Amino acid sequence: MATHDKELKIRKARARNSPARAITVSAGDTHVVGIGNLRVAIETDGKSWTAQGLEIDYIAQGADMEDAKKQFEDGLACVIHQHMRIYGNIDNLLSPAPREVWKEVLNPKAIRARYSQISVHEIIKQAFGFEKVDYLVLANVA
Amino acid sequence: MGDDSSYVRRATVIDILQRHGVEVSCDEGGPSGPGMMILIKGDKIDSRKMPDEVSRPVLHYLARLFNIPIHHFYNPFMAPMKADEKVQ
Repeated sequence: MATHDKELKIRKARARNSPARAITVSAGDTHVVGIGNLRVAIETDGKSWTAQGLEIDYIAQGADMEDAKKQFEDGLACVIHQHMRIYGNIDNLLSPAPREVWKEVLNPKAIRARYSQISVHEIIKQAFGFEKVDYLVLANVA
Repeated sequence: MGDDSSYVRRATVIDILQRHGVEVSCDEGGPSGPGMMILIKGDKIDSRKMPDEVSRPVLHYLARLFNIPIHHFYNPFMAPMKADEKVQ
């Protein structure tokens, strides 16, 4: 009969100056990371699309909007995986985007469309369990 | 339309990252599939599929994450040499 002798560690963290929260649950070498209230600003320069996390400073580039979202979710999942592998936590990852990014997003004219994506990329859902990603599509001001 | 001059080729970006001491490796067997690159310098970690041409916002992100002057990506000759590189 199998015994469950691995100690279960639960750790909660909150990004500085932002509502983003993270919870990591570890048992031995197995880690589950959940991030909630993560907002992502998406914009294009006409050539490529960029997805910039607000509560977590991470950015990805894609050929179109859907690709930018996929690259963001894949890339961030991999960064989380590496942080967990090396440090056992994602504390170093929990810093918000810089002031100039927030300034652009907080401009009331900037946001063209807003929608949340609860059914995130399957790999992240299985491996890391994002609660929700809130995408903010910015108007092209160029 | 995006200004082509604001984009930098992948090979140049990787070269500049390495010149600034960033370890660049591929994570072919990772959960996010093939082509994912792992970038590590000190306690800073990044991971992404690097496109053929890297846009200005991504370059700014890499610059602030790894503390690299942004102009080094656009003027590679200004970046420091690699440790194994010899002056001609």
